[in-house]
Amino acid sequence: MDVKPLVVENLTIHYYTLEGIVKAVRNVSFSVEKGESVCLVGESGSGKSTIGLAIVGALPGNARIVSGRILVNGVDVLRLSQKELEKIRGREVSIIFQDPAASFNPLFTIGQILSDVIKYKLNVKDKNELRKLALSALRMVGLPDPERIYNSYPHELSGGMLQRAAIAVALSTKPSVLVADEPTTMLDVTLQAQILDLLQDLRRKLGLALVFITHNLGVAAAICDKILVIYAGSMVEYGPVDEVLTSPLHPYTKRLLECVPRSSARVGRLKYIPGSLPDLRKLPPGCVFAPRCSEVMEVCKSVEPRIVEVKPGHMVACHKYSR
Amino acid sequence: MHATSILGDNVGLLDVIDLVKYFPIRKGVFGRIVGYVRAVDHVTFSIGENETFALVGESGSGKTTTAKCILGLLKPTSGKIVFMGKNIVELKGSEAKWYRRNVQAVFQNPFLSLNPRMKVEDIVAEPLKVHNKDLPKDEVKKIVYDVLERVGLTKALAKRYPYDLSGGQAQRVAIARAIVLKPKLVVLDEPTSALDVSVQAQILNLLVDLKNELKLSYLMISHDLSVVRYISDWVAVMYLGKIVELAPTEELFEKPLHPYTQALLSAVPEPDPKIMKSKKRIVLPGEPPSAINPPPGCRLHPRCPYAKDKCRVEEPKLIEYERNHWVACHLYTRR
Amino acid sequence: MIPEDVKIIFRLIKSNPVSLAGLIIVAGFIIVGIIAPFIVPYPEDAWGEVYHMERRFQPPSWEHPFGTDAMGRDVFSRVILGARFSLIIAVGVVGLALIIGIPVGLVAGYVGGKLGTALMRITDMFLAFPPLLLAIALAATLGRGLVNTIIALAISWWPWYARLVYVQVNSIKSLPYVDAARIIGLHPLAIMFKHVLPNALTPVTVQAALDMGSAILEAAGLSFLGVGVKPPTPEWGLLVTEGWTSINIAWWISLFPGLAILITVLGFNLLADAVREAGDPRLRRILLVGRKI
Repeated sequence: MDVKPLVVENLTIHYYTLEGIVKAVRNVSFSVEKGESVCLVGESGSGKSTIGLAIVGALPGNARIVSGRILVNGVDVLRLSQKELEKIRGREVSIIFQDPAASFNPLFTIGQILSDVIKYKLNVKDKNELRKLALSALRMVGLPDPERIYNSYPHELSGGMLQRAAIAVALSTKPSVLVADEPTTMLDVTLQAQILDLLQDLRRKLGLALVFITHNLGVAAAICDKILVIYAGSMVEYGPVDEVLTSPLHPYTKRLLECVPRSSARVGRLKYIPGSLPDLRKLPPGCVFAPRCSEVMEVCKSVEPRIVEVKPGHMVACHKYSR
Repeated sequence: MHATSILGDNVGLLDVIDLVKYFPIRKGVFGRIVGYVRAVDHVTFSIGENETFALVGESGSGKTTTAKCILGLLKPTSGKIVFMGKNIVELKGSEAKWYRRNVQAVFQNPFLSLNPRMKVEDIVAEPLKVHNKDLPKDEVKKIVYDVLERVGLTKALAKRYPYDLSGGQAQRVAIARAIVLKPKLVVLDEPTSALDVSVQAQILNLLVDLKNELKLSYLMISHDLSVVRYISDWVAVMYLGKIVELAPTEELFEKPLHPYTQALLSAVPEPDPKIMKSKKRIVLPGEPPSAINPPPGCRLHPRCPYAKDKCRVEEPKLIEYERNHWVACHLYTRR
Repeated sequence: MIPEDVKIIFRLIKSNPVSLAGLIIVAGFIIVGIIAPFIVPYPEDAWGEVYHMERRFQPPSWEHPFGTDAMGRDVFSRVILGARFSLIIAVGVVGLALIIGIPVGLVAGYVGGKLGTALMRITDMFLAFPPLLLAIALAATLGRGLVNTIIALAISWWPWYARLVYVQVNSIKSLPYVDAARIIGLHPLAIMFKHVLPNALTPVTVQAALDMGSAILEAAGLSFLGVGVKPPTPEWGLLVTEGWTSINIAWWISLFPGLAILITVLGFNLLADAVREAGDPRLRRILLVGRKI
């Protein structure tokens, strides 16, 4: 059997801050097949970006992975030494961020940055070969006139082009896993559509395992095969995108979908979720969503629900379904 | 221009007539003007009483510049902005103050739009202190607390500083400040795009309620078409400084005419896999060109799938193609 | 300063023993500076107008913990009283520099236009001189004395504050809350003083408080070069100079005031690091993750 490009198991991450220990991610598990895309969906403070950073081994210094495993092509990256990790990061797993401008050093041209990445990660020394690889990476992401882009500085490119260039850099080393952290949030809708199309196209062509992080359920519907809904660091629902969005099981997913205004139809009054995210330093006992849940039961307030498979491939962490 | 025709006889609460705003580009030691950014280029529309009018467009479309001209933060290059019969570009003294009292704004990022060193109650009281100088202190306090309660904030929050609030609470404070003077028009500049969806829904509901209760008109600036469909009565779509389509909301969403509007609508991702699959996607190639040297003819023609020779040379006029449905495109000629 | 900033600064200081040491040193310096005249064991010696033939060059002892100098004066008393002069200089220099720098930066940033450009060009002219060199030249021209030292240092110092205020004001004046104040119809002057200036001042006041260490150091430098405070004022730099000629036979005369300078400046710098960390939004976010900012 093929080894899955990415498997995340029981991942728990804490941040150590001056105000206490923030339990940012708790017991999150999912896996991504070759050519598959999984969306991590949640509101701010859900811990979705933290998971992304953990996968590429780029957590900030005050974060601790308390437990869990992250297997990239079968290798647990959390057990690797710094040196071994360096080989995998950017080589087998890459990441792109919301603000592409922030991920480029403004002093270097796109070509220099690309060549450097290829040189160090793929160990290519020949200059002509480097240039060829860099230009083909730029061509791959559909940038017009790659020669000109190659010699451009980041500030000379528009947001959409820069995000394409960032994708080129991330994919230049032919990774098997790409983490995309809100890559279209800062872009206009028409550009967002272009970038989403590009990512879809590339993941099919290159057989990429794509982890797509977003707060936008619409974007998730557009790009994902599977969707993982996270609330306050806990996974609440995980399943095929069609099922989760059309027949959601968890009350949080249901309520969240009701909050979203639609462009396809005028809705009546919008529903909303009362209350706010719990303090991640002092989590309530039982289900994290219980204080805001409209279908709350007695058991929810004391016992934390376990994630169970309700339908094939469709899992939910809610006492309503655990019997 | 088509200004009079679009406004017709029914003059609105606010009429923007042939508004132009160019920003000079200066170069060199002496600041020689080498060109202009044509941010807003002959824009005309009208907002009626108790109506929500949305300006929709992507970055660089000129929607925010238009709003800033209306708010008096920028001086238009030419054109008129007529509020209740008075051209506000020329207003001075007490009349300017009268306008300020009646037109307020709510911005995108609530934390940046609240002075971090002022308490919530002082932020909301500030407009009262400017416009009703003689109001006794306890009266001010009473009004402030009433307004805070109306936007859904408790008394306990009044003594807090903005950094002690959540995003939704901070945006409620900004809304309270905007309505405390009981204005006629509130400009909403992307009021929910910095908020989480569950919070966004609450703020949108609040805005709808306030509009009905206080008989407000809104000018909504947004790139989020889903939000626009939910809240507005009229929509104008802008592209590179021009209005390309203008219609009542339902009409525009159900029957978009302009290729740009169609592309924009087809690009909005919906959290519904069925719709996403059935949606016919119109992808515009490339990115909007710069507003410094906009393309001649129709500004969309380099990206438009239906561009004809005529589109490259002649600029289409905004015409009333169907009743109340205005479009600026050579595909549609007056019937 | 915003209460939140103060809270964060104190929390950062408490969490880091090095910063805490800085805070203790600075607090100790300020307290000693204020109460010095009342606690010195030999007040006459401290003020310096005496000559004790019988106890010149005495090494440190229980009676004279820092020894005595060439005129038989108790070095401990002089160092303690010196804290007061250093405090006066520090507050004076920074205060005067702020009085000039803030209005220049504020007007240049908020009003802008030709006036703003002119003000910033003048500021740039001052910035073109190496500050210590400028201070030495001014001090030499003005003549020795406490007040002249303060003036000389402040003149070489204000352009930095003017520039800092200018940069702050320039970024703050385009923030939405300033736009909101304009939309309300608030008078431009009211906007400048109520919305722009207070927010521009946070980093400036922090910077200024921390610059006091450098002011002490530079004033000591001027005194050491003979263009600063007049003898027999027990200013630390001057005390170091006074012991300089007899360093071979009486090391303690220069060492203790030197140490006083070192420790005080170190204290200010340690504190400065903690405060700078509190002001860095990126760092702050890492430290306080979980809170929406």
